[in-house]
Amino acid sequence: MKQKRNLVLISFILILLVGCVNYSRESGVENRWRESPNFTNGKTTTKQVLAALGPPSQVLALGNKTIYYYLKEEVTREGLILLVYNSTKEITLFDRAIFIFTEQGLLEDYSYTKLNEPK
Amino acid sequence: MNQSKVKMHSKLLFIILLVLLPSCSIVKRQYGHNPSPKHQQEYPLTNYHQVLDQMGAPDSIAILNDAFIFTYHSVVINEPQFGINIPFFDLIKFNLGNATAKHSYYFYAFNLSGNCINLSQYKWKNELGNGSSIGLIFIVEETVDLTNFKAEHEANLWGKSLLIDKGLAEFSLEEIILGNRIGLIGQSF
Repeated sequence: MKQKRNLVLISFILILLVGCVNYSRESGVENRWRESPNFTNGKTTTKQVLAALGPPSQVLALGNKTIYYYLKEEVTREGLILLVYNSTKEITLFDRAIFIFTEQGLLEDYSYTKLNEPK
Repeated sequence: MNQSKVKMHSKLLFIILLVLLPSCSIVKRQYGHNPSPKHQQEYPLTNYHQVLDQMGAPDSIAILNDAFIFTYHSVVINEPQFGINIPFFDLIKFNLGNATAKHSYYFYAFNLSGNCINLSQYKWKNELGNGSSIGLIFIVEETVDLTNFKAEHEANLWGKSLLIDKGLAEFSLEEIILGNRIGLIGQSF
């Protein structure tokens, strides 16, 4: 009887020997495009985008057009550490915004990363 | 007699399990989103406006003389591990692991007018390799070299390029800003 009790007690202690890990990291520009007002193709100018979002991560020339490219990287890591089984999951998500301007500096088209379709 | 044998076997099994304390770890990594576009089944995309609308901002952009390219790339890596530990005998702690990467890749090429001239979709698997280690303490850590997935992204380093002495830079500041050189800008994998 005493042996059984000890076995149960040891099992209980072993089950409680668990650990959790949580970690997150961000890099890139400040993400303001998710909260900024809507931009309008053919009307919004480069100045308005810069004023709303700040300097882009990259500026590219595409023929006569100009591209502003914003990037924010977020890494999250979660882990469960048990006595005989460990599991960790690390997800790196990139939130991007791209703005394409005409030669006159008017917004031709823009797009954000589609965040609502995780794997 | 039989009962005592069963008891003895159970004790023996318990001792063996304690001596060879096995441990499993599952490490999962994901880089980027998988847009899984609907147009692949429904209708073809004919210009870059439709691609941006369906797929969102691209992971990488390449600019050529008479064309430009959008790519969308996501990777999921699974790394199961198994370890055997002999308590109080640290040298024989042993860990085995392997990693598999599943890639999802979409490629769209446009002419300078923005019309789609080529599009492709690829999905493939990479065996990233096997690894083993002998250690003192079991921890959840990769046994396969994944450093190329942890590289700094060029877009985040752009500001640093402004600090480089123009005379010493491999590419001129003008080339970097105008994006004249051929190469993917954005994610490096």
